[in-house]
Amino acid sequence: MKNQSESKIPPIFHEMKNLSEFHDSKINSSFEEKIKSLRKYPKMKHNPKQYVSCWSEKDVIDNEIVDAFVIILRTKGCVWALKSGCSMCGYINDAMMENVSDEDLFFQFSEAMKKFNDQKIVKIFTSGSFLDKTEVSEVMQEKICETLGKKTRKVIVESRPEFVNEEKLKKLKKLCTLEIAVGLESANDRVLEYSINKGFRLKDYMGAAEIIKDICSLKTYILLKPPFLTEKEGIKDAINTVKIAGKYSSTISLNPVNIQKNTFVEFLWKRNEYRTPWLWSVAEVLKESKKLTDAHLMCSPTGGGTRRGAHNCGKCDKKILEAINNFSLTQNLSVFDNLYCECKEEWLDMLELEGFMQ
Amino acid sequence: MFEILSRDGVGRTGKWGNVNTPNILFVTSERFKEFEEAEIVLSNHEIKSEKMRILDNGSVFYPENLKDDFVIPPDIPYPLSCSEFFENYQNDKVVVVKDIEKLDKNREVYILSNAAELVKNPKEFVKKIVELRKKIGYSKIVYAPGIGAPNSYAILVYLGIDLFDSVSLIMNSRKKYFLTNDGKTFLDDLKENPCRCPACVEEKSDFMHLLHHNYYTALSELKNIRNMIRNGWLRELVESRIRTEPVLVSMLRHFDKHYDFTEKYFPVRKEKMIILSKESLFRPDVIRFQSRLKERYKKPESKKILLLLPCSAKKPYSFSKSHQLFRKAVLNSGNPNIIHEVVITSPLGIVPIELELFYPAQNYDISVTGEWDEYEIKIVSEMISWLVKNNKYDNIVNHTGYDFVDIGINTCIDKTTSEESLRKLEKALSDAVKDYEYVKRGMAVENMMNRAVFQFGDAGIDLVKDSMIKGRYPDIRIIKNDKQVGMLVCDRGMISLTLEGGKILANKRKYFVEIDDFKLKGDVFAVGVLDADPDVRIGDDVLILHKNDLKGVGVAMMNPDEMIESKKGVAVKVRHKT
Repeated sequence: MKNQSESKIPPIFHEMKNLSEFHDSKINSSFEEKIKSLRKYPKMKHNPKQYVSCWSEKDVIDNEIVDAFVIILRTKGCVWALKSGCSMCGYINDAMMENVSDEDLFFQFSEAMKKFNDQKIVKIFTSGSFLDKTEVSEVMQEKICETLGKKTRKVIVESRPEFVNEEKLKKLKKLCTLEIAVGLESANDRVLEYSINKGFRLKDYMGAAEIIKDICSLKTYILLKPPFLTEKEGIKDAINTVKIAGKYSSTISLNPVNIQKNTFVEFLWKRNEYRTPWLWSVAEVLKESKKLTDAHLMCSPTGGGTRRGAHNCGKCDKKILEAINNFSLTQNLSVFDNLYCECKEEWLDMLELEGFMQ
Repeated sequence: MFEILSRDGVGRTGKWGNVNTPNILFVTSERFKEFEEAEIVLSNHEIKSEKMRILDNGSVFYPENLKDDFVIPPDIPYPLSCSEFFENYQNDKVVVVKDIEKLDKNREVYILSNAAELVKNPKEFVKKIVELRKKIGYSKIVYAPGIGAPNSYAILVYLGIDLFDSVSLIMNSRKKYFLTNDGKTFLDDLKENPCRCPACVEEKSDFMHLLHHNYYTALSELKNIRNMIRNGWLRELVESRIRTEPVLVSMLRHFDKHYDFTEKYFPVRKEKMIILSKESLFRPDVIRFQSRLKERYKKPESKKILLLLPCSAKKPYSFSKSHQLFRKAVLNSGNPNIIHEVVITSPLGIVPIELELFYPAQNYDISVTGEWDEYEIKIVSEMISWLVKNNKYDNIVNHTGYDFVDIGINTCIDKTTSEESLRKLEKALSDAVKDYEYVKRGMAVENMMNRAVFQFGDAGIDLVKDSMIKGRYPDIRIIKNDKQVGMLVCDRGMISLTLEGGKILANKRKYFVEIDDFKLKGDVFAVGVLDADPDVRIGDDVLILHKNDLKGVGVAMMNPDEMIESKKGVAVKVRHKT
C-alpha cells in the first residue's frame, strides 16, 4: 500500500516524503478533490518578469516600531496548492503555474527593489515556499539573501515545514539576519486535515520549528476560524495553537480567515455557509493569547471590516481594527479596554448558540 | 421511552419521560438561564437541573465528554453543499442525521442535521423529512435544531417533528422581533403590546423581557398544537397558521404532494373537517375519498338514470330539506329505484348518495357562496367524467344548476329548490324512467354492498352477498343466516363488524391485525402485534387474528407500521372477542 501511494507522488513531492503519513480516508481525498475543482486558472497568463506586488508597512524589531518592505515575487506557485491546497488559500491565483527562470525572478526582485527605501525589514514572499528550490532555486535563494543582507536589518521569508533543513538555513543565515515564517494555522491535526487540508500535521511543524529556532528565528502564522468550526471553536483553536507555537516562535501572526478567490472557503461563503470571524473574536484571541506566550503577537486582518474579511456590524469595525493594529505594534492589552458595541451581544449569543445548530 | 398518545396525520403528541411532545429544548448556558416553564433543557456543559436534559458534545474538532441519558455525539457540521462528506454521527440513543440512506433504525432520537439551512428550501426540506420518517418509522423522535417560531411550529409538527430548540427564539429576540402566532413584529413598531404573558405584564422592553415573551408565546403555541392534535384539528390549525408566511404555505403544498406517504397516517374518520383554503382541497383525506371511489366504486346495478344533485349545508345530505324535496321528485317519477342520486360537491367532487355517511362526506364544512372556483369545477367535472365513463348510465339529469359536463338534461331554473325547478326535475325524471320496467324495493342490499366494498375493498363483497338488510336507514343491520354480521353506524359513517362478520372477512386476510398467541382480555396493545394489513388506517374496523383464527374485532388506533414497530400503546380497541 505504502509503496503504491509513494510511487504516485510526482517528483516535485519528493521532499514531502518526510512528512508524517496522511490519512487516506475517503473524506480527505474527496476534500482535496473539491478544493481542486474550485480552482480556476487565469485566462491571461501572468508575466514572468512582473512581480506580484510590493509595499511598505509597519512592523517591530526589538520593541521598536519600524518600516518593513514587502515584496511578493511571482514563482511557479506553492507546491501544495498545485496539488490541491488549503481550503482558504487563494495565493495560487497569482502564481505562474510553471517554472520561472532565475533570470526572470531576479528581474522581478530588482524591479521591486527600485522602490526600496532603506526599510529595516524586508519580507520576501512568493505565495509559496521561498525555501522550495523548485520555486526559488538555491542560487536565487542565496543571491536574494546576500543582496538583502547588505541593505537591511532583517529578512523574512516563508516556507512549508518540509522544505526546512539545517544546512540550507545555516548557509542562508550567513548571508543575512533571517526569519522563517511557517503557516501552522492550527495545532489540532483534525482541523489541519478535515477543515484546512493543510497537507501536514502538527509534528511536521514541530520538527521544522525546532531546526529554525536553533538557527535563526521563527514566525508562525495562525489561522482564525477555518471552515466547519464554530466561532467559539475558532477562538479556542487559535488560542490553543498559540500555546503550542509560542514555544518555538519569536513572532506569532494571527490571520483571521478572509475570502480569497476560487477557494473552498469562498465556495461556502457564497452559499451563506461560512461567515468570516468577528473582530470581537480577533480581539478575544489576542487578549487570551498574550497571557500564554512571550512571542510578539500581531494581527493585521486582510480585508478587515469588509464582508470578505473579519468584520463586526459595520458601525464599530474601524474602532476595533484600530485597537488590533495598536496592539500589534505595542503589545499593550489595554487598547482593548472599554470597547463596546451593541453587536457584541449578538456575537456573545453566537458563541453560545452556534454549536447547537448541528 | 417515547409513547405516542394522540395522532393527527403524521403529527403526534406523546410523552417522553415527563416531557410532553412536541416540545422545545431550552438552551441553558451562562447567558441564558434555565427557563422556569421549560420541561426539557439543552446544554453543552454539565448543568444542574431537575428537568430532563439533552447535552451536546460539540464537534469532532473539540469534542466534549459529557455523560447523561441523552447526549448528542460530536460531529463535523458539514453544510449542505458538502454532502459528499456526509456521514451519520451516533451513540446508542442519539443520531446526528446526515446520510438518511445509511441510518441505523434502532435509536431513539434522530436529529435532522442542517435543518436551519434546509428550511430555506421548502421542497427539499419536506423531501428530507419524508425520507427520514420513512426510514426510521413512526415511533422515533425527530428533533430539528435551530428552527421554528410560533407561527411555524404547527406546520413543522404536522410534518412529524417532535422537538425544537430555543436557538431561533433567542436569535429573533436579539433582532428585536416580538413573536406571535401570526408572525413577527419589530419591537419598536409595536404601539400596543397585545400580550399579557408574565413577561409582558411587567411592561419592560429590554432583551430579557422580549426573550421571555417569545419563550412563553412559543410554549403556549406548542400546548395549543398538542391540544389540536388530541382533538383532531391539527390540519385546520396548520392551514390557518401558514397564512402568515408564503414559505410555510409552500411547505404544506409540497407535503401534500407526498400523498402516498401522508395518507397512511390519516384516520378514516374524524369528527369534523373544515375546508378553509385552497390547500384544504388537497388534504390526504379528501384525496383518499376520491381515489377510493376510483379504486373501489361501481354504481348499484339497478340504477340506470344518473341524477346529479347539489350538496346541502346539512349533512348527511339526505336529511336536508332540499334533498327531501329532490327525493320527493324521485319518488314521484314512477320508477325511483333506477334513479341514482349523486351529489356534486367541493372538495370531494362527487358523493354517490349511498356513501353519504362515509367520512368526510357527512363531516366537512365549507364556505358556500354559490360560485365555483376553477379548481372546484375541474375536480367535479373530472369525477363526473370518471363516473359516467366507468359506469353505464342510460341518461343523465343534471339538477345542480351548473353545466359541469355538457351532457344530460339541465333541470334547474335559478334556484334548485324553486317550485319551477322541482317541477322540471320531476318531469325530466318521469320522462327518463318511463320506458323501464318497474324496479321494486331491494336497493338496500345493493347500497350496502357498495358501502362494504368502499370500506373493505373486494373483501367486503362476501359480507353482504346473500344477506338481508334490516332496520330503518341510517340504522341498518346486515343479517346473514339469521345472524347479524355488521351494522351501519350513522355517526361513524361506516360498518361495524360483529364476530360473525369478522369470520367472513378472516378468510380474505384483509384488514387484519396479527397478534401473538394469547387470549384477548382487553384491548390489543402494540407490543403484542406481529403484523398488520398495510391497508389498515386509524379508525378502520379490523379483524384480530392469530394465524387464521379470529380472536376478535375492533377499531384500529394506530397505523399498521406503528402497530408493528411500537412497544407502547393500544393498537386495537376491541369491540367483540371470541
